[in-house]
Amino acid sequence: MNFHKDNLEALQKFQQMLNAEPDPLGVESTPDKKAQTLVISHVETTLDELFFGHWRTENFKWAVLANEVQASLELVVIHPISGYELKRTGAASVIIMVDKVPDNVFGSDRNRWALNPDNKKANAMDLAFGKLKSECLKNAALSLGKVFGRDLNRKNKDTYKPFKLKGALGRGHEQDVAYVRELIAAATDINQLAKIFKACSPEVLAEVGEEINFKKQSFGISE
Amino acid sequence: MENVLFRASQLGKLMTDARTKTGLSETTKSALLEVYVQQKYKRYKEISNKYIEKGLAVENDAIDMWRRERKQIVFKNEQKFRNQFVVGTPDLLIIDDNDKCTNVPDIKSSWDIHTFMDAKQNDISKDYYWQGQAYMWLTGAPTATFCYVLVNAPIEMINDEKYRLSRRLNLIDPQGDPTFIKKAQSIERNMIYDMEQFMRDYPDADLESHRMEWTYDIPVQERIHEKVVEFDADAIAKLQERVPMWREYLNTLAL
Repeated sequence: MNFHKDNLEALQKFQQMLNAEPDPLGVESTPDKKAQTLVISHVETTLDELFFGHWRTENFKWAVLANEVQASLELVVIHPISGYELKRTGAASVIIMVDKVPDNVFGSDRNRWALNPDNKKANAMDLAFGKLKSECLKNAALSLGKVFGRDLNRKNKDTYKPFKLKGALGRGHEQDVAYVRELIAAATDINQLAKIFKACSPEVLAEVGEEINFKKQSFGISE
Repeated sequence: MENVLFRASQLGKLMTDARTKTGLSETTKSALLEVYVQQKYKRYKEISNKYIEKGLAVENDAIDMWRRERKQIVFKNEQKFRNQFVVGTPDLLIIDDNDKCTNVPDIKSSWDIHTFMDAKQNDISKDYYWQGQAYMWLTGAPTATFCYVLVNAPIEMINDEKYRLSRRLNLIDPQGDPTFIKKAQSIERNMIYDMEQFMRDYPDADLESHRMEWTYDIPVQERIHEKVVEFDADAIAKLQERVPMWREYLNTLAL
């Protein structure tokens, strides 16, 4: 990766995308209604969109601790600008569901009831294990940026502040190129094309040469 | 200082008439002192406020919006023009098919809708009038157009305003305070006029306003107005008369 100023601009722009607010349609309350979460479908689709499908999970590991299953995995993405592989670890846990504690059990016996495997619901991990992996993935994705729901439950939130990169051709140049491309596309005769050509700076012309030649050809003028 | 050239943007102050009709006005003398320091010591007085900062920060956006709306094939001018009296770099030049400059548009970015409407209702300032006259004189254009444009403020300026608000309210956790939220939303409404564009420019923006409930955009057509100044040969003659007086005064400062 060559960290040329123009590459830095592209990196910063991608970082801005990672730090965009999450899609409000994907934000739901957690089952206990105490917090908000970005649902797994939106996390996975956003990974697909931002990393062009180049992501995977690795090393899904779990362990049973009392009445919980704790797990972790590694989310691996390929950065679309730098091409480097980035890894983020995600961790989560789920409770092994047990039958309801009988009403005549009190105090610490209630805890013992929950910890006794004999009381485990028959299909306790059937759905919970899949959910555990999803929660690990969500947790790993959080560290990539706000778009994955990083700040959903935080009050004191920092914001991504990109640097002003001096030396890059900059926003004015980008706007000029975009405007000229639109003008070329809309040009209906060679005179209009000539006007555009005359008004443009060499820097802009250098970037729209192909479009101008294509348009010229469409007017029956060969190079 | 016999050959000092005066910048187009300084002419408004320099052309201020003296109350007694004899000699130079105090405003002119003060402006000339600045010119003197610039010429002799190559030091430029730093004048900065949030209005100027926004103008500089959004210059490209303002030009882009104006040219698209007015369908002008025009790009920011970098060429400095000069004659024996004045010097200046107009923002834009409208050139006709015969390579003649027909208009000198100068883009003025308003701070907010209030200053924008204020400019719309009032005549252009003396500073702009003389700036326009100088640009027309330098380029041969018969008209100069002052284009007032209202575009989104950069996110850094919005965050800066909100930060200052949080300090004024003495809040350590501003986002938990309803008064802050309300006032911050008001700041955002005063600084954002096209939310879609804003979110394209700053996808990571952390706004207090709810995007889904945002209904405060102002159409582009309502965010541009123009004031045209026509070339006035008498005004230029008056300016030419005064330049030797200014240069003479500069020489007295040099003593």
